[in-house]
Amino acid sequence: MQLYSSNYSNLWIRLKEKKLLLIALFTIVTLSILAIIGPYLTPFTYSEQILTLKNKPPGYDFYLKYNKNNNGTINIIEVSEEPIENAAGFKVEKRIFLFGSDALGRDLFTRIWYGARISLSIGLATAFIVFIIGSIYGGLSGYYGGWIDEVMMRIVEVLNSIPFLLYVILLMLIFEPGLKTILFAIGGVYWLPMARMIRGQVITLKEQDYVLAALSLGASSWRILFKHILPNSLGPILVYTTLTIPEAIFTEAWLSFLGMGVSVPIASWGSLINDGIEGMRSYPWQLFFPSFLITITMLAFNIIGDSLRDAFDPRFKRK
Amino acid sequence: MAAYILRRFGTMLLSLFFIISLTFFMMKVIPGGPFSSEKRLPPEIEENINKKYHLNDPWYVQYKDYLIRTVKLDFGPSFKYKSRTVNEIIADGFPVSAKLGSTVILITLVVGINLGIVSAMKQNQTQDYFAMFLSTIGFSTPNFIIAYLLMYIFAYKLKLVPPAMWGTWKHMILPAISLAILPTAVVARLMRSSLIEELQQDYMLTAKAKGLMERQIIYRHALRNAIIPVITYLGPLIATIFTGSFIIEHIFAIPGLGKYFVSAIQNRDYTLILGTTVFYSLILMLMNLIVDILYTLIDPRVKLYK
Repeated sequence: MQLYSSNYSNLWIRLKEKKLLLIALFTIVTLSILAIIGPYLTPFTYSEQILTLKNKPPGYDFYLKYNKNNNGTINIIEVSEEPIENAAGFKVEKRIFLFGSDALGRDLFTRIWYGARISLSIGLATAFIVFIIGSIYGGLSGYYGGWIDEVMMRIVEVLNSIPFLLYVILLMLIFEPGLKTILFAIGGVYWLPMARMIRGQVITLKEQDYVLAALSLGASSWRILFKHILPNSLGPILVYTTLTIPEAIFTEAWLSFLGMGVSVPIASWGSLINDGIEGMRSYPWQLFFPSFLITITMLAFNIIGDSLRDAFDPRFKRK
Repeated sequence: MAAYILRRFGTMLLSLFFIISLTFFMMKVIPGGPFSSEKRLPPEIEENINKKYHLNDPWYVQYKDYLIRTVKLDFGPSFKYKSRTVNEIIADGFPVSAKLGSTVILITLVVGINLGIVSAMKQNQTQDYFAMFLSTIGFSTPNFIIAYLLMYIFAYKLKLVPPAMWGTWKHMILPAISLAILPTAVVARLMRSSLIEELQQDYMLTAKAKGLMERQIIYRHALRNAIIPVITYLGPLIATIFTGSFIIEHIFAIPGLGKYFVSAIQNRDYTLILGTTVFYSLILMLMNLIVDILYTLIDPRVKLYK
């Protein structure tokens, strides 16, 4: 079964042919850069409230008179749409809500890029956890076979029969809500299909001649598994890992939406969507921006995953 | 076959036992009970409440009682809705969810399969790219975003359908579409790739050489084989609809099982969480078993049992 492991050299050529893939990659890179620098592009912080400026539309600009406290937070003295006169010890600035403000007068632009950090980190971290646990568990199960395989796969089967989201919800209920718990809950569930897939790969690959060659040269099982077999099933592993990212982002959004995600005032795209729902009829932009970003992010990751699958799988090669 | 089904039942019982135990102990370690968040009750009343719900018993007695009652499919009284039992709530909510769910399955299969056929027949042409692009978007948009988008456009702006609640068929349109989009996208993709593979088989050449029309070739010959991956997807499809319905029922205020489940979590209504979780798992496992058996009946090449 050499479906995935051949033709690495043509891989890049086949990937480059796809314009859609390039657009998707560009989107992800842009979003990542904005997630890193976005919160610094504005003078606001993600939790700073200007209670007199609730639910302002995108592009709303105003003048702000303030002074700084010793601990770095600011005291708002005056807010006005007209220019304000400055006085000694105070500062006056013209500011703008690029994406509008939310129901507590926080800058949506800052919050969205701050939320992008959280959502993207959750996606990447989950993919990493799933990759590690799935490879080790599936690899060992497939490589050793026999009763070890039987027991390990029976465990996966039992865990797999629990509806995924029920399990995540139950985990979320037990532990303190927060980023760590979300990672633990999502990562603790999504490795299951990964482990199954890798096991299947290992079972077919371990019968290959190069494994026999490595064995006859005296390589240890550990070395054979991690240096010979797993690198050869890199294709499907990579595809699955990529496709885990949008799923994790979606699950986090889902949990935040039900009020089980990150705790206030931290924002993730899911919690921003949840915040935006209440005012969706009067202030639709509060719902629009995070929804739009989460959708194009998932879209981009799905396109990358699909393209990788096509590129690794010669059955889809163009004639 | 019988041995296979028996083995599957064994795994199912094991899984169910695991789920029941897991949920039970999870509920035990969760801080705060259904009565602890409200204002402090007089100790005598708290004592009486604990006695009524057997909360004073040691955990192993509660566990044993719980296992016995669960085997009898009696999930006890709800903590939140004091006058109702969990069984009554499930009996009320499940038909609503089942009605919505079966509508969604119908939409998914009809639209998804046909979209896949169109895509496969016009492979690498505009129609194909368009259908696959639609499917990728459907695959990538979280269902709650679709739900609010539809609600905003069709209920608030165009005022064509009611924005929420349950009753007439009009109430079902928006939730059904929001739930169906993701699985439809998946079915369309599965259908497309398996049909493309099937069209390259030798018997297709034979059929063409016999002079059959393209329609006949597709619907009489290719479709029967190509549909198998879609049937395998039916199990996960039901799971997708189940979990999707938690949120969709919550958004559209549909009195189904999903909405009760979400509010049970928010109210920390232990017995209701336990009951619905076990019920969901049971239904899902039964469905998966039925799908697997169906699978062998449709494709004689597949052998599940050794």
